[in-house]
Amino acid sequence: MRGTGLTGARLGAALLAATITAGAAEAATLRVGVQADAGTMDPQAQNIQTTLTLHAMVFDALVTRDRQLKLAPGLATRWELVNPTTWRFHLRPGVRFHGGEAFGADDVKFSIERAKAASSQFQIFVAKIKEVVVVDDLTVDLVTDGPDPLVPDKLTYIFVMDRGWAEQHSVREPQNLRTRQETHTALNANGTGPFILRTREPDSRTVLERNGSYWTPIEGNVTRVEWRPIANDPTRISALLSRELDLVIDVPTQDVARLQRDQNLRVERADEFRTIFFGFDLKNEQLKYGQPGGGNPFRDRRVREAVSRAIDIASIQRATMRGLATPTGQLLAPGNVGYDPALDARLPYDQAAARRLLQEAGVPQGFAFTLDCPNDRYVNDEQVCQAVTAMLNQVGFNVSLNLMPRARYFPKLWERDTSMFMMGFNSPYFDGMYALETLHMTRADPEGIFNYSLYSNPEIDAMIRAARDETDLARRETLMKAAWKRVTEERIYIPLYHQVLVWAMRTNVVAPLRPDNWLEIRWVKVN
Amino acid sequence: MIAYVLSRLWQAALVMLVVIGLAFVLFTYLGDPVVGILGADSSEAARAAIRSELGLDRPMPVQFLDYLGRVLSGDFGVSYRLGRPVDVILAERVPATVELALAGMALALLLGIPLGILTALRRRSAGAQALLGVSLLGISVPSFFMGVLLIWLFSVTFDLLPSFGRGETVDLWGWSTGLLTLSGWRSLILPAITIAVFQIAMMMRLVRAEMLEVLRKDFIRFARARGLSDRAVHLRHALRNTLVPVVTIAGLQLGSVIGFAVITESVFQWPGLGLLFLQSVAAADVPVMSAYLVLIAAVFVTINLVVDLLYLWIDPRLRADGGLEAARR
Repeated sequence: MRGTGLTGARLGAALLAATITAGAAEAATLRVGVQADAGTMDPQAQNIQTTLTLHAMVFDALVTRDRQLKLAPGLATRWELVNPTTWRFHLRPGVRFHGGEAFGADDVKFSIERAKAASSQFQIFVAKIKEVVVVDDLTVDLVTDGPDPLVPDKLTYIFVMDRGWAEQHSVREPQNLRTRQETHTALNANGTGPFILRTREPDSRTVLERNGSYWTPIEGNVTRVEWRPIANDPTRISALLSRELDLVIDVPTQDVARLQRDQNLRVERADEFRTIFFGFDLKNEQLKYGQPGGGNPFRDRRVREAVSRAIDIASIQRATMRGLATPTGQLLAPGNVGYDPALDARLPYDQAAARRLLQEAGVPQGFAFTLDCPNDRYVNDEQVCQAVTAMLNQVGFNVSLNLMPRARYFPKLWERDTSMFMMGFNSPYFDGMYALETLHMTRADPEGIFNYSLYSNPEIDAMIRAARDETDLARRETLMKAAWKRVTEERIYIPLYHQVLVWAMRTNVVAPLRPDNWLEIRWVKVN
Repeated sequence: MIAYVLSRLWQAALVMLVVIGLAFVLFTYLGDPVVGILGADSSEAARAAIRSELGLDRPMPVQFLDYLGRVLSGDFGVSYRLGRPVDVILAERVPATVELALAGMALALLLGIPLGILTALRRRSAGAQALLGVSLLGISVPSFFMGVLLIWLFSVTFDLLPSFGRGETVDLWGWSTGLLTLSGWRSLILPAITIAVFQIAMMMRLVRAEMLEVLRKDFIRFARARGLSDRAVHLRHALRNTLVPVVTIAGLQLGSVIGFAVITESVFQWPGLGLLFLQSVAAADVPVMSAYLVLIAAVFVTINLVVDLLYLWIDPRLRADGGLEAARR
């Protein structure tokens, strides 16, 4: 009796375990913790990584990326360059939106044009597309203003909406702040993506369920996603520790060490495509926030080099960033076209050399100026600026640190109302051209649109333009590397480090980490 | 009495007007909402288009008058961050905050008043001294720390209660309540304790101080001289007289618990008004922030009014004509 009972119990337990395992394989819920919720479900209103990650579950783009991060067919099955300024995209037949509407060329035209609207945050991705021509229901031609070899790359960010649905719910524009009515896309979404939006409670909970009739088999086994924004860092980490979450995609630096010690969790890290750097006023004869009558010493390359050499990057990496930073000399992360390992080494930290450079530049005593920094934009931005301020003061500068929230910081940069500033730059679509074009060229929007230094050098402009308009990819890369070498040696900006991305997950979760901080839900497995 | 209520309403309106003005001025210094709408990487042309669409390019006084006019007609505008009408968003968030505040205040009154009476009546006992010591701790521990501590204890270490959110909610005629589900109640416990700790301690100390004061009064001595039982003296005579200031403070505290639930709500990701406000500040979402301040001012003004009316009810002496003013002096 006793033996049988035991066997029975064992059998029962085994059966139960088998049921649970089978159940998990068939229906797996992934609870994702994020710092801030997506502000909207509108796929063209908010270009923030967390928002993109959520939207990518509901929407598809024409082009997507495979596990090697190479371009892969999405809603388009293939594409080709018809002539230097026309890209032809062949669309996938038989795809339907979650609401049942058929997907076609009309929707592509509508979505691309929608991304060009004034209230869209995705204008930069489609700025060069002059016209979208519907050839037939499954073919579109994109006519660009000048050659643009990156059109397919850029389209990975343009999610396709159903035109009929958008018109029916009066959401032709991404954000409509005039009508004083609820924008339908604030809470609703109708995409073709792998998951269907079921519940949307902003700042609280978003629930998605797997799209049973997705156009391609989904590798992962997640059938339900619970998206849980938790703004407070300790709470978000506690929720992971107490098994209320399965995955946290923005782990605060101070918690990484502790999470690594937990046996039930796995911490994964990767260099993020976000480079933190400093820029200077390189135009004005007199620094606006500098010594009156002191001119603008930053216009001298040697002074900028002195700044670079005065920064003890190793201690910033170790103490301020707790190891979650990869020092760099180039304003571009590895993995991007145009990245050059030879440029990656920073100038060595050398206070004596910095002082010598200042002497050569005719400012042996250093000078006073204000450093502007945000305090709620990048990881530990405030602390890094404090550390750099102290380091610069050691070689003779007299730096006043001006910290402010991003809602005040960026308008200041837009006005070029700064003498030295901190910035983080995220190179989209795995290509260094965007950084070259927007940060280094003479300002003539969209060229030099983020050139807050107002740096202008016709020779560099010409180098970048040559690389940009080159359609031969191998030659293009050579030209880009040459341009990167030039701008790096010119020390237009002083790069500090690439942020390191950290995800923490329960050990039964397999979620591949992408350097652009994109959670590809189709690859996620919950065991 | 009607004249009194009317004059209070007039004062309230004036207060609200000042609040709207202050809110508007304050927020123009917080930052540029265009950062939230278009992100940091936007073109100048797009920014100019949005500015003129929202009327942000007009002179400040014009913007203010326009805003005032719309607020008076009940239109709080559309949130820049969430793209939805502000009144709808606020209405969605009110239930969470009100339930949390009421739960917190209920805890504070249910524990604070009896403990206050107890420590007043047995003021020399070791237990009362210990309670006073603990209450000092309750007053001085910041709610941020208290919240994190509770999460660490009850969610992470003992795995008993949820660390964030409101649990399942049920929609009752547009009021989403967490009080009808088990997970709702479980989720309410930690935030309610966090918000109540200070209030319990304060209530207890207040009741104690008032009670001690009253117990020294002549009418208590007379009551004892009449041979009334301790119980009758304490509960009917002393406690009742203690309650006038307690009601005032409790009312005002309810207002401040609603108004300053910001910290507790953000620690527990409690989807109420405080969390909304905090996230709106970061995005310079002026319409939401202004409406929130107006709403909180309205709550305070209303509570003050109700408290004054409660005085009339509790204290019969004040019911005489002009009694309230007389009593105040």
